[in-house]
Order: sequence, then C-alpha cells, then structure tokens
Amino acid sequence: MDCNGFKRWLISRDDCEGNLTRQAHKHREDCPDCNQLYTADEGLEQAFSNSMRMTPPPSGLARRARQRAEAEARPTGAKRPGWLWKGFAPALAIGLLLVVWNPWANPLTSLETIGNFALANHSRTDMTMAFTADEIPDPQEWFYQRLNFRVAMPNFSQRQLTFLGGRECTIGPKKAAYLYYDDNGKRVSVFVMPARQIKFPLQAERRYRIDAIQYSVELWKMDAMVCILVQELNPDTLSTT
Amino acid sequence: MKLPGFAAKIVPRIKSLSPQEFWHLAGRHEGLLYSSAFQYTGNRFDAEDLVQETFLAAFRSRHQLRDRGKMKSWLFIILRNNYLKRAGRKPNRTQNEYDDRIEYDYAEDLAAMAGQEDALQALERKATAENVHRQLSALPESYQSVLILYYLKEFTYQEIADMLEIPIGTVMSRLARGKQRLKAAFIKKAARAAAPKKIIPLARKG
Repeated sequence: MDCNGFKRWLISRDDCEGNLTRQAHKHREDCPDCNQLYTADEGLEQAFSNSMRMTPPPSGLARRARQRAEAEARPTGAKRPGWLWKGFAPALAIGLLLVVWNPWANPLTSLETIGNFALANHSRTDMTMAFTADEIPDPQEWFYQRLNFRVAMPNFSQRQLTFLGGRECTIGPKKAAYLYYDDNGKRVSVFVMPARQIKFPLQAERRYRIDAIQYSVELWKMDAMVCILVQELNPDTLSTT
Repeated sequence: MKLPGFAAKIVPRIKSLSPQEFWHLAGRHEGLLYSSAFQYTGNRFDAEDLVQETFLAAFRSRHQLRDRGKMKSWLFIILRNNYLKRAGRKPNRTQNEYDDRIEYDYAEDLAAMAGQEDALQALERKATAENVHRQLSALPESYQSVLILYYLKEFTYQEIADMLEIPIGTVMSRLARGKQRLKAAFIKKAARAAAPKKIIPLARKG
C-alpha cells in the first residue's frame, strides 16, 4: 500500500475489509508521515467517542415515566360522567347493544353464511394460535375448559394433515374451536362447534362443500359436532374448473 | 415439531409483559435511551422529554414486544421514531451518493494539519460535545442514527442493521461516510481557527 492508498483507507476504514486494514497498519509502521496522519485522525476519533459516549441520565427518569403511566391509567374526576349519566348511560348502552347485536338471532342458517364466517377467520392475519400441538397433550380438555363442550378431534390421517395447534374463536356469534393443520406448507383451518348451533338440517353422512374464488369450505357432521374445513384450492384444480 | 413457513404468523404470542415486568426490564435501559436522546436533541430537557415519551409509548404497546431479549433495540426504535416525529424529519433511506471530493479534502487537509502543532490543538479544542452535536445534527438522519448507535458502543453492527432495517453493509458504509463528513467539517473549522489573522494596517491621516 502506498501513501495515497493509506489516505483512502483512513477515511473509509469502517467500510474496509480486514486485509486492507492490515496493509494500512503495515504501511503506517514504515511511513512516519502516514503514521502522523493516523495519530491525528485517531485524536479526532477519540474526541467524537468522548463526546458521544453514554451520558448519565437524571436520577429517577424511568420512575417518573412509570408514575406518569400509572396516573394515565387511573380515571380522573373530570372524566367521570355526571349523576344524570350514571343512571341513564347503562340503560342506553344496553338498549343500543340489543338493537345493534341481537343476541337471540342466530345467523348460522345456511351453508354460505357459515362458510363466510369460517373463511373470514381463516383469512385473518391476527388470529395466532393459543397453543401448539407440542405444548398441550390433551387439546380436547383444553377446549372443554374454555368452551364448555367436548371438541371431537377430526381424523385426517387419510388426508395427511398435520395438527399444529389451536385457539378459541367464534363462527358468527357462536363459540368454536379453531384447529390449525398443515398440508404440505399450506394452512388448513378446521372449526369445530356443537351441531345444535347450526340452524339448518345437516345429514349425518354427507359432506357439504362450497368453493370460493381461492378457497374451498367443507362442512360435515361428526356425532354431535360440526366440522368446518377451510383450505386453499389447488392451483391445478382452479385452472381446470 | 418443525412448523411450516406460514406458521410464523400464527404461532402463539408470548404472554404480554405485566406492568411490573415491563418497568423492571425497560428501566435497565434508561441510560442508553437518555444518551441516544441527548445526541439526537442536543439538550438535556428535550432528551428527558423524549425518553419519557418513549417509555410511555413502549408501555402502552408492550403487548407488541414478542421477544423480551430485544427490549433494548425495541425501545431505541420507539425513541428514534418519536424523535423523527417531533423533529418533523423523515428517515433517509437512500443516501447512495458518495462525495469523493470530501474524502480527498479530508485526507489532504488532515495531512496539512498533522504537521502543525497549533492546528492539531485547535482541532482538539473544537471537538467539544456541543460542537460534535451541532455537526451531527447537520448530517442526514441516516448517518446520524448510525453514528449515534456506533459511538454508544452498545450495539453490534448486526443489531444496528436490524434496528434501522438496513443491510449490515449499508451500516458500515454509512458509518464510514458519516464519520468522513463529521471529520471534514471539524478539520475545516480547526483550519479556520488556526489560520493566522491577517491584520491590514489602515493608513493614518496626517
């Protein structure tokens, strides 16, 4: 390395490979001018390092932030509703709730509606698993504690689906178990819920199927349960149908 | 069990940090946050405000932290975003130009200065924390953040790359170019300070 090469190295040494750095150090050992240059540059480097090093924070900085966070979490007097609202607001809220969300109406009256609800769940990106298959030895018990019904685990040994995990969810207004399966790198969603929640007659041995643009939804009865399976349609199938 | 690729989005989230856990973990990094904030803002009052805002924002969204081991980086990202929002600056992501002229000037000027004792002393005197901050804040944000993180000596190149969402090679080149600009600015200042003042005698009347 010559003096010009050394100068180029000096200014871009953070972006240089180790071999070039070794050559530069070797050069400065032999060249007093470049060594002087290096010393001057190091002095500046040291000055920057001293100026930008850790600065001790004022005492109790995190504690004060914590106090602010706790104060924000507490309801303030000014924000509380007046006495009139205290009596009126709950009644109004209940009235509105009944109008907007009629709890007595069960929308699960057709295959299409159920399929739409299941497909919506399948498409959501924020529905993470609550447990993985490795973590919970008895998923049925896990769901029983949360949903109050025994979830029959469907047998997919013929279809070679691998059980990954599960979570609770809803199909419309009704609670269901959400089981995640893997089909060669593609997600298959299976929803299991009591058959009595479905308000249209289902034949025991029949498999119902609807195909959306990209997905297929299958529905079948399994004893007292209903299984709804959502999976991506095979691109080959798509092109031929 | 090996999870398929798509499962990354649906694996269970870790349990959200409780307030106590959050403050216990986050409180450890107040020094780092304050130092970074001080470098960004250049004064203690704004730095303190910025850190408080950062802690509050992080506390409110603590459920989003998926890996507790990344608390330090996560807090810094929030701090930087808060600073950019406050300062009305946008993160510069495309600083690809390479100013060769600055590189040449720096090496030449430093070579000229390295032989003069007065000039070197002037250089050291100029490199005060206040001046460093002034020059740092004049740099594009893309260089500023890399330099701040580098000189805090708390992060590896890879961690800096992850936090700023840039490749590690870009971290290294921005570091080199950021230093280059900073040093060139100081050399020029010091050269001006060390230059002998020319006194032009005024002609006297009579």
